[in-house]
Amino acid sequence: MVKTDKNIETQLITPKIIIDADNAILGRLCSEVAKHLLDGYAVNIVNCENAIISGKRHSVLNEYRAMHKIHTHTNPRRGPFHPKRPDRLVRRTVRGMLPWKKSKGRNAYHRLLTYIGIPEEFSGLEIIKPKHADANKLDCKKITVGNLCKEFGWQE
Amino acid sequence: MGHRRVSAPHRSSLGYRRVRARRIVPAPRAWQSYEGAPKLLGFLGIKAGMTHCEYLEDRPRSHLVNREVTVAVTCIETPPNVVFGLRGYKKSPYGLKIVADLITTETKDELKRRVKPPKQYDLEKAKKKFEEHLEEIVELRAIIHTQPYLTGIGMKTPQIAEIKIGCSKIEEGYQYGLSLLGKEMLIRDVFKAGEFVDTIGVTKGKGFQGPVKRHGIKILQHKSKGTKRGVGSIGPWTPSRTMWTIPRSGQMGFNVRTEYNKRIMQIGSDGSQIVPKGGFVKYGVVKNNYVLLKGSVPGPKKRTILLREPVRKAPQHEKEPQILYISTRSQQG
Repeated sequence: MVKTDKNIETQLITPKIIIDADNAILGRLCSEVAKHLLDGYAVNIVNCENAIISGKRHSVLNEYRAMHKIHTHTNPRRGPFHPKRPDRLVRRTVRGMLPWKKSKGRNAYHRLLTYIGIPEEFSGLEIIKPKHADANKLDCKKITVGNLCKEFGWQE
Repeated sequence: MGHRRVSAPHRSSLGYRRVRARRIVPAPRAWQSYEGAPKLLGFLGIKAGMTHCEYLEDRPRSHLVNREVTVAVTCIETPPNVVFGLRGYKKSPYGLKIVADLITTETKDELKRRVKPPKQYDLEKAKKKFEEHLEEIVELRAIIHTQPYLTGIGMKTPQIAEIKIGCSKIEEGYQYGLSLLGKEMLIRDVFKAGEFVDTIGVTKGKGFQGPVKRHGIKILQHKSKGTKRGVGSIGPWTPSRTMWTIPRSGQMGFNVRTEYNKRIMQIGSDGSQIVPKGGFVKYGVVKNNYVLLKGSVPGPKKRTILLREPVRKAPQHEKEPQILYISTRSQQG
């Protein structure tokens, strides 16, 4: 899990949203989350393993495999790193939609937390669905983030 | 005219990270998925030294079967391990997580050198809390400590470790763990002669070493410019950085290493039968129970070694090997 803003006062003031990634299209979900973050919200995403990527299984896998080949030539341990756990993969996808080189973007990123499943502490809280990311409107083939990550070695 | 070959195999394995171990008693990454009557799946011992023995070869496929064979053996002194706590882990999406633990109130005085006992502690309360979580617990581990003060090596502070309790049902394992609390476990309770074990230990530390000793590269000819104990070339002009594969100087040794499937040749209690005349060099005599393992074990003498039930498939020889002779010749000159 990731460190949040250490300043308790700002944590109290920051309004928090919990978003359900179940059956949500990954890119559309993440762009919506990025918008919320830049507006100053703290966002928690639950059920990350059930987010959906559209496309044939093998073509999605090939795209990610090609991405995994990108690393420092002289020392792969220096990155860039490619997360292989559903919650981290979703978090990394949001990072790509934030102005990472500006402090505005970095601070926004630190307000984002992602989870596999729904943690116990969220029981009874309002969990909202993203507005424009429903995967039911897709009539093509699709793959869940969880299944994708299993290909890369994630053990459920 | 001879000249250097264009390509050659790499001089050292790139499969290991050559970093110092964080602590001297390793925490294994994996335990055997054991089913059956509850038992501890590991034991801590102290490496004493090596000798050799002769035994009747009993591997049925060996061409030397039923003949006398000489093998090198490592002696590991195993004073009783004391169980002083229990710990339960539950499953979470991010790996195992501790849900409950308990510690005995009657611990040995020597343990205070390693851990500070809690001042106000209610064992009954802790047990109740533990039992509430029994349903979600998937792995039980016993917290044990060694008793190095029983040996002759002069070490007083015990080492502590977590050892998995193997069981079919967590309830059974928990009752077994409770029955062990505060008691001494003997090596005979955990392993038998003829079985196979994995050994996990920290290797001998060699400090900061150059690439010749650390990676085994060749020493260059004496007329080499600059240095002769370095690599001939540390890489191309571009990229103008050193590749991670280049053998360079750095920390050597003191790494955690696991060796798999070592056969227990003998478990004994009378050390005088195996200790060489004058004692093991840099160790002395063996005063407690001991284990003779076939082959070598990582680490120097006096190092704490974890013996673990094998996690990989071990050969099936459950009979105790018939040992004919154990060398007790002096190892000093």
